[in-house]
Amino acid sequence: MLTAIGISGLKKAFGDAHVIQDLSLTIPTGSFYGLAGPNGAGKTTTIRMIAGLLRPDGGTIEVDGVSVWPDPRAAKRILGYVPDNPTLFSRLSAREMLDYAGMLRGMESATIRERGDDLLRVLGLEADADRQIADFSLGMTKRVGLAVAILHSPRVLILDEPFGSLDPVNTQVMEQLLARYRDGGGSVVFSSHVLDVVERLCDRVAVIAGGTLVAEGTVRELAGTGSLEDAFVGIVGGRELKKEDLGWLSSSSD
Amino acid sequence: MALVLFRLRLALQRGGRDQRGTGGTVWFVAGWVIAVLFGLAGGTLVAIFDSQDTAAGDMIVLLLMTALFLSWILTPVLLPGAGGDAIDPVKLEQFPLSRTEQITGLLIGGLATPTAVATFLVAVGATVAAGYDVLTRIIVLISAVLFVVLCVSTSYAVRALFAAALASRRGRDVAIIVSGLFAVGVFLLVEASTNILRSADAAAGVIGDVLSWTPPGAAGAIGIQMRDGDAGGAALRAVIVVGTVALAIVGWTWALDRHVRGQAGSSDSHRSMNRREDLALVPRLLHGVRSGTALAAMSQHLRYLFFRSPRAVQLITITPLFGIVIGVTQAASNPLTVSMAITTLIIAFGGVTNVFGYDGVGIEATVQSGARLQQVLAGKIVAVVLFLVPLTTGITIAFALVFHHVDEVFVALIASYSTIAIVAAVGAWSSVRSPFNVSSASNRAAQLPRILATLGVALALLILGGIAWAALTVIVPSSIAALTVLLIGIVMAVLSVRGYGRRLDRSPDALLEAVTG
Repeated sequence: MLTAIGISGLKKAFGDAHVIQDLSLTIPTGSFYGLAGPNGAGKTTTIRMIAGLLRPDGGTIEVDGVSVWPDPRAAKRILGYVPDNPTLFSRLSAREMLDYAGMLRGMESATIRERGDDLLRVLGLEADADRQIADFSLGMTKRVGLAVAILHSPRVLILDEPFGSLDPVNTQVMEQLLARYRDGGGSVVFSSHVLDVVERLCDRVAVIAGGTLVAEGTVRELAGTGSLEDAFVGIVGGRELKKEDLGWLSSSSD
Repeated sequence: MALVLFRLRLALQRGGRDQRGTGGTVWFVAGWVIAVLFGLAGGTLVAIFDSQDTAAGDMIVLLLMTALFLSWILTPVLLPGAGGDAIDPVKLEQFPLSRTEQITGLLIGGLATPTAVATFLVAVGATVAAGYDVLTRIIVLISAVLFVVLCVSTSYAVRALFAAALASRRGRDVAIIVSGLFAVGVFLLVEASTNILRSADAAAGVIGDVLSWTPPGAAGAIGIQMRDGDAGGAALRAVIVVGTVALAIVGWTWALDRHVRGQAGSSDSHRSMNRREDLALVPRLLHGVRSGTALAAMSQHLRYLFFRSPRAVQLITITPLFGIVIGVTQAASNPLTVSMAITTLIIAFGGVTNVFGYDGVGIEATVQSGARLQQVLAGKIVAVVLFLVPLTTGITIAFALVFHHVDEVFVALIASYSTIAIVAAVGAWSSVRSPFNVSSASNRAAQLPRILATLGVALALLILGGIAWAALTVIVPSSIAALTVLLIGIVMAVLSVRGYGRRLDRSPDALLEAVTG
C-alpha cells in the first residue's frame, strides 16, 4: 500500500497546552480520508503541520514520500491546502488570485488561464471572477480557496472543514469535483464535523481527541451497524443537558 | 447604554495595553502623561494670550484652536486605522442599539482619550485668563467642552465618511484627491500663518475676526466675545459650533446607515486580456515579463498600491506630498542633491520598510505555495522601486526647474536613485526582521520604536553615503562619485534582498505570525 501522508510521533504544544501528543497516522494513496474529532481536538493543528505552515515540536510527517519538516517547500509543491477560512488576498479578484497562485507554483501563463477559467466555471464563480474577494460570501471564498488549492493539480489535497458554509448545490459540486480528483489518482484528506458527509465520502476515518488518535479504520469498522455519528459520540464521549439547565429558555423573552 | 460603551472603550484601552506587555504599559502611561503636559502647556499659552486682551493675542489663540481642530480632522485622513482601541461601530450593529445610543456612546468613548483630554486642557486654559468675570469663566468652561465634542464628532464623522468613500472605486479616487488637496491646504495654511505671525500685527484683528467665524475659531471666540461684552456675538459663535457638531453627527449617521444598507460600491476590476498568456493579475506595463514568483509578487503588490488597499493608497498619495513639502523647505537653502536625498528618503521609507504589511492573511497562501520567499521579497521591493523611480525623477526635474538648479539635475537624480537603493536595502532587512500588519493599529503602535530605529539606520547609511560621495569628489568628478555611490547602493540592496530572502525561506514562521495577526 502506497502512503499519501505518513505521520509518526507528532507532537505540538502551545505554551503549557499540549495540543498534539504522539500522533501517528498512515493515510493511503488514492483514499478519501476523514479526520473527525470534537472542537479543540487538534485537527486543524495537525492539518497545518501537514501543510507546512506550523512547525511541530517532534515527530515526522511525509507527504507522498517527501518529508515536510524541516524544509516544507518541496512537500508544499505537491499538496494543495484549503483552510477552514481560506487565506486569500482579499483585495484581489478571484481570477487574479488564481493567477497569483499559478505563478507562484511556476505554471505557464496559458495553463494558468485555461485551468483558471475551467475552475471558475465549474465552481460557479465565472460571473464574479472580476470582483474582489473581500466582497464574497464565505461560501464563495471557500470555492476560490478550493480553486487555488487544486489549480496545480496536486497529488494530495488537504481540506479543513470544506463543506461548512456551502449551500447544497455547491456541496454537491464540490463532492463531485473531489471524487473526480480522487479517481484521477489524487488523495483527499479532510476534517469535518459533518459526519454524514464523512460517512458518505470517506474510505477511512481517524478520530482525534485530546491531541491523540483514539480510533481509526474504515467507516464500517468504526460505525458498525449504527451511524458514524453514534459511533463518534460513543468514542469521544457524549454530553447531555440536565433537565434543570437553561430552564429560562423555555419562557419567551420579555 | 452610553455609559456601557464608555466602559467598553476603557476596557479596550486596558486590553490593548495588556496585550502589548510592559512596553505597552509604558507607552500607555507615557501617552497620557505627554497628553496632559501638552494640554497644560497649551492651556497656559491660551491663558497668557487671552490675558493680553490684544488683537494679536486673540488671533494666536484662535490659530491654536484651528490647528488643533485640523489635527483632529487630518488624523483619520492620513492615518485611517488610527485609534485601534476605539470601538468598531460595525461590531455594534449586532446589538439592539438605536443609532442615537450608538453615536452617543461612541462619542462619549471618544472623549476618554489622551488626545481629547489634551484638547480640553488647551481650550479650558482661558478660564484662568486675567480680566474674566465669573460668568465668562463658566461660559469658557462650557465652550471648552463644546470644542472637544466638536473635534471628536468631526473627526469620527470624517473617519466614517472616508471609510465609506474608500469602499467604492469612484469614492476612492475622490478621497485620494481630497486628502491630497487637504494635506497641501494645511501646509499652505501653516506657511501663511507663520508669515502672518511674523509681520502682520495690523492684520491680526481682521484675521482673528475671520477665524472666529470658523467652527474651531468660533469655539475659541465665545470667551473672547464675552470678555469684550458682546454676548450676542458669543451666542452666534456657540450656534456655529453646535451646528457643526450637528452636521458632523448627521454625516456620521449617514455613513453608518449606508454601511448597514450595504451600499459598499462596486469593486469590479474588469480588464480586457488580449493575448492568451496575458494574466489578469499582471499590470499591462509588465505584460511580456517572464512569468514566475517575482512577477506574481510584483503584480500583487502593484495592484495593492494602485488602488486596492486603502492603507497602501494613503502611502502612495500622502508620503510624496510630505516629501515634496519637506523638499521645498530644504531646496532654497541646500544643494538640490541634499534636498532630493531627503525628499526621496521620506517618499521611499514607508514604501519599502514593511512590504508584507498589506498582505494580511494572503501571506499564508504565499507561504503555503512553497514558492521561494526570496523572490517574493524581491518582487515586492522591485514593485515599489518601479513606482519610486519615475516619481522621484519627475520631482527632481520639477525642483531643478523651479529652484533654478538645472545644472545639478543629473547628480541630483543619481542622489535620488542612490537613496532609493539604500532605503531598499534597509527595507529588505526591516521587512523580514520586523514585519507587521498595517491594518492593525495596535501593531503599528507597538512597532513605532522599531520604525524609528529603522529610520535611524536608513539615515545613518544615507549620511555615510553622503560622506563617501564628498570624499570621492576630491579625487574624481562629482558625476563619477555619484555613480559610484549609486552602484554601492544597488549592490547593498541586492545583497540585502538575497540575504534576508534566504532567511525568510529558512523560517517564514515569524512573518506568518506577524502579518496575519
